[in-house]
Amino acid sequence: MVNKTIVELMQKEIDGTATKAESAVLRRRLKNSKEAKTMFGELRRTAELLQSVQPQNPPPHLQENILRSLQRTRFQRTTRYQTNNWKEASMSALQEFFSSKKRAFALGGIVAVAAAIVLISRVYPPSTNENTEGTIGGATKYRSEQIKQGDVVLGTEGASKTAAQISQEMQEQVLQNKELLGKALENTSLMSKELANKDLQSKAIENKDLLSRQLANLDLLNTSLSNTALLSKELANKEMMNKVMENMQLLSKQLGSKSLQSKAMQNVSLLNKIMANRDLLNKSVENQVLLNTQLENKDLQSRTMENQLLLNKVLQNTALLSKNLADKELASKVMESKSLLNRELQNMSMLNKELSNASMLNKVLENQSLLSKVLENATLMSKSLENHALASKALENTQLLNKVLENKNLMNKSLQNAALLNRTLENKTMENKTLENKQQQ
Amino acid sequence: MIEQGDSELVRQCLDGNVARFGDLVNKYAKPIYNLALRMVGDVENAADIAQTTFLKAYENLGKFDLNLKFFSWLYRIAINESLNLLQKQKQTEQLNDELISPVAAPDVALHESERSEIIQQSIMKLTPEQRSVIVLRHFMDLSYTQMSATLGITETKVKSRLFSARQHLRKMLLKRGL
Repeated sequence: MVNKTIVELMQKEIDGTATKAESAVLRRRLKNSKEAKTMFGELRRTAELLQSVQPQNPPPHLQENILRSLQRTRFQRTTRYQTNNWKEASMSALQEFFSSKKRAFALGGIVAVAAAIVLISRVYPPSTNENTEGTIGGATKYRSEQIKQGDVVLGTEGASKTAAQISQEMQEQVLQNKELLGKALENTSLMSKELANKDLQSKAIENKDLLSRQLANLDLLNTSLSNTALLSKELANKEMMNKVMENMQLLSKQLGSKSLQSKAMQNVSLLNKIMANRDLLNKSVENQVLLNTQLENKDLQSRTMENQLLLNKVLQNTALLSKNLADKELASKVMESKSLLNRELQNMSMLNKELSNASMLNKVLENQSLLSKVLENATLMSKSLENHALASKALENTQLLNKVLENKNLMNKSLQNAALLNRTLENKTMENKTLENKQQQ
Repeated sequence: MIEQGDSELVRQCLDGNVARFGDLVNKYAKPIYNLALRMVGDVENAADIAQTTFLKAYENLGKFDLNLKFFSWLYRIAINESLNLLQKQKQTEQLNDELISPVAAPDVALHESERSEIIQQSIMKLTPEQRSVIVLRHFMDLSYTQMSATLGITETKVKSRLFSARQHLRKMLLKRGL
């Protein structure tokens, strides 16, 4: 089951609303979950397929048909302007009312009718003064007399009349009634006319009121018109103010951005300086390293100089030593040979003494043979001595060889030191150059 | 879409310059038609819905809150009209699965129109609620916030509905070889 947060991240990624961090998190999560990976792939594929569907063009006459049908309908204006500002709403309603030409004509018509009604109401109904008769005639009203007690005939009196009389009376009455009816009809028509006039009068009064109200309304309308003009100006001013505010905001933003830009420039210059300082620092570090190496080289140089001096001394000492040794060996050899010679001389005196002794001749002979043996021994001795000398010389030579080898090592070291010296010299030249560069900077 | 322009056109229209509504019709006729087409899947009904949408918008323009986005309001009308039509259709006829063409082999390269047709058929198999979020997101290119405002539901609901719709759609499209 894929986690809900991953699902949300997938959606965001597909809809292009994921941040870089969210995308990175999603990628990490997808690496760990195969199920999530397949789900994401499928969802993305679906989105791609949906995006691939091109919008279709509507039928050619759709717009035309819509516009035609709109001409037959009117939109509702009653609940429009759902704004909180009632003044704005009412003024805009007035603006709307006067914006239409038809409405202006209608208003004109109403005013004209009202004026006509006022005129009629002033002239009509005619006054009862006789002087005014002839203009519009006074109403000749029929007023029937009230029924009196004498008109009422009791049945006993009437019963004495014959049928013919009754019928005659009746006929007369009918005729009278007819006349009365005619008069009554006339009166009723007059009455109705009067009533109509009264209605008209009341209507006229009403109309007067209405007209006065309308006139007041007209005044109000005029004031409202002037107010609307003012309002429109105010609105225009408001719009101007809004625009000004927008411009101010833009300007402040621009100024902010300019200050930011200048700060950024400063930062950039600082960064450049920092970079330059870094380079200088790196160079100085390098120089320090070089200096250290130079110092080390100087130490080495001094050491090599000391070594060289020591070497020279050693060489001198070795030479002296070798000479001393050689002298000593020679002296010892001389001493040995001297002692040998002394012994031999002693032997020879002895031999001479022995020779002088006749008796001692045999002995001398014997001594001669012994002497020859001694001589042989002496030669042997001398040979051994020579061998000893050679051995000592060989030893000396080996010592010398060792010393030579040591000297060679010292020489190698001195060569290395010389190379180091060369480097230090190079470093010094570099230092000089850097110093020159610094001075130039 | 410059919404300020829409508001201005609506304001002018309310101020008596009715011709400005024509500008709005010219601007939104195609998107509304396409919205309706994706919702109902029928060219004639889509044209009818587009016409009704504009008429209703015109009639009720006085009720439109200028603080809102006009296109959201218009899309909402169109969606409601589409849903009404679908409801009426549902009462008379059920969507016939047999009308849908057989499953194409995945390796067969489909023509663009064929593919669009399959996608449309699959969209039509979604519930109207799921369909509306898919249409608004992928065909009207609305953000979660705009969709929320148009459909009158929360953004969280929009997201969950969109996710389930996409999953459902994916299964259907996979079945159809896409």
